[in-house]
Amino acid sequence: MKRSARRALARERDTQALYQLTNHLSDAQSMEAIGTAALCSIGQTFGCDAALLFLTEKGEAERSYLQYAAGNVIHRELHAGDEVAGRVQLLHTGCVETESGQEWPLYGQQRILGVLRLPRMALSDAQRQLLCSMLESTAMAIDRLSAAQEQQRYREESFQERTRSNLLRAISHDLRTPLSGIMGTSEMIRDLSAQDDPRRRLAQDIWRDADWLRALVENILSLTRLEDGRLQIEKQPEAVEEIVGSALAQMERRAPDREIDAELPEELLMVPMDAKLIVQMLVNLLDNAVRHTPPGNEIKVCGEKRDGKAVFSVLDRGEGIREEDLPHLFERFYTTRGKSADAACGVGLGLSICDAIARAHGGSITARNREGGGAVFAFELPMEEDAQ
Amino acid sequence: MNSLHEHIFVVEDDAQIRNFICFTLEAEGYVCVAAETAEEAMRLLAAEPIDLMLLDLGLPDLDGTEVIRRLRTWSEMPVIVVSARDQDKEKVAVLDLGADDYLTKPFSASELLARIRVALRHMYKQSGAKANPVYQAGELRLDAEKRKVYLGEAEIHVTPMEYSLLLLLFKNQGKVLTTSVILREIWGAGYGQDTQALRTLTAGLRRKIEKNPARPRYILTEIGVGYRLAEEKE
Repeated sequence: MKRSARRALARERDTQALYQLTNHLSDAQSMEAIGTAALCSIGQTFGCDAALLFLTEKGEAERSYLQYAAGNVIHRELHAGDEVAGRVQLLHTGCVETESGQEWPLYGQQRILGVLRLPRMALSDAQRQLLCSMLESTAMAIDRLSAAQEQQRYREESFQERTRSNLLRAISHDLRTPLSGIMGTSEMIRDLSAQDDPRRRLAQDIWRDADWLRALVENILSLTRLEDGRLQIEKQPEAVEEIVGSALAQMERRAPDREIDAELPEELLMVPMDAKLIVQMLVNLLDNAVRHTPPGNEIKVCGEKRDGKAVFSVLDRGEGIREEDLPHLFERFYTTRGKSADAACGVGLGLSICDAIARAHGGSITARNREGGGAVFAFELPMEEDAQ
Repeated sequence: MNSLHEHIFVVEDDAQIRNFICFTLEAEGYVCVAAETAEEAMRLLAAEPIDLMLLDLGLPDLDGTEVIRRLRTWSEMPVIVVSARDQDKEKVAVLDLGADDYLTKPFSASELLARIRVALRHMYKQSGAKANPVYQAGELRLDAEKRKVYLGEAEIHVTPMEYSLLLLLFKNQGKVLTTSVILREIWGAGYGQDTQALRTLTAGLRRKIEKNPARPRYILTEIGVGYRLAEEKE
């Protein structure tokens, strides 16, 4: 009778402790608060010191751990970190007994979240069960917190991204009109100056820089619109030769002294596409080729039908693409470090807009080096309107 | 220099572009009249002697389409619209409503002057058109009396449809023709918007008269708008 009453009392104390821990955990807003609540609760319940070490997502030990001693929780630097991390593998099987104490794993949904260390002592089955329940509650609290933090971070990132896009677009739009004015006026000054007048060259330089800015502005506008889905691409059957022809006509203005070859099939090739965007893409690729190819070397644009797809490619005999740049070419704002001399030209938006346009068409773009030197940029578009 | 001192009406709200345009035009001997808003433009159109209007589509107070619609109720004066790139749809709508040509910002002084020359020339020609003329652009020649096409000395055999397209383009040489205007003229009203048929027709014609269809010398593509026959002179 007396024994069963004591057992009932102990069980109630355990339930009470677990309940309090759960309460504290649900209030906790940081990993530290969770750890502190768990340690206090475990330390008081079992009447011993305790320490808690969190593990990173990669399963490595954090640099400091929390220690509970004499009713207080403090941070301590970890000295034997590697030793603990090395033992994490063992923890998958459950509690690990060592000479100095026992280590209990904190199992999260995806991984082991941390390790609880207690001094060497004997635990009854009921105590083991209670400890496991407490660790389980703690692990759940950590999982919940990281999920919330993850979501918060994602929300903030997408908000920032949207704000940045909106800002970029607003600025770009406002830049367009004054740029037209600068280009027109500088061209006029150029044409009014005599051939040997140094002002002629200066005006020409102003025009070229303004033209470069204008191209950047157009890229930013298209890119931000494509990315937030505001730019509805309007696919219509278009003649490949007309698209290539328009890109070549634009290049004649931008780089009048460069020769660009075109290779097109004899028969008329019609492909559903947004003509303006594909022209913009070709101009970007050709511009890129001109920038990286010494004058006199081959630059060629091809359009053909291959394996049921329309393939456009821009080939050059320039310096080629450095191996380390290849995986990043189509990333936003990525510019190659290899060249600093013409850094002013490499905005790093030209290729990412190409990628965005190709993908918006349900196609893809690739880049590789050519045998014998130079680079190839090729993009494929589906020949048929996708059945959406 | 221009001896007729035509009055060009510049409707543009951006001061710098307006200055650039007026400076360019006055240097060529044209007389410039300027307005900043559609409302001011409508008022001046009624009051001033104007030969040609340059109309910016991005006016603060009224849509460019509306300006053209109102103007066309009482005047056939040539209108060249000036647009930014993202006003493409509006640009085509305005051309279909009867604007004569367009310029996309940024444009060069030479483009501006070329468009104005072409528009004025077509205006004068309308008043005194000669019958069955011979049209020429570079090596390409169309004899409307004999209904024959030549490239240099060689006669080019074209289909009746190709001939109609080329004649239409020659009659409007230097001016842009929108896809829908061409479709209406060649295939007749009610044929709809079969742009594919027009692309095919143009591609066939180009293979007969152009050395390199990717670098057309005569039939120029205006992406998203239509076609233009080159202004090329011997």
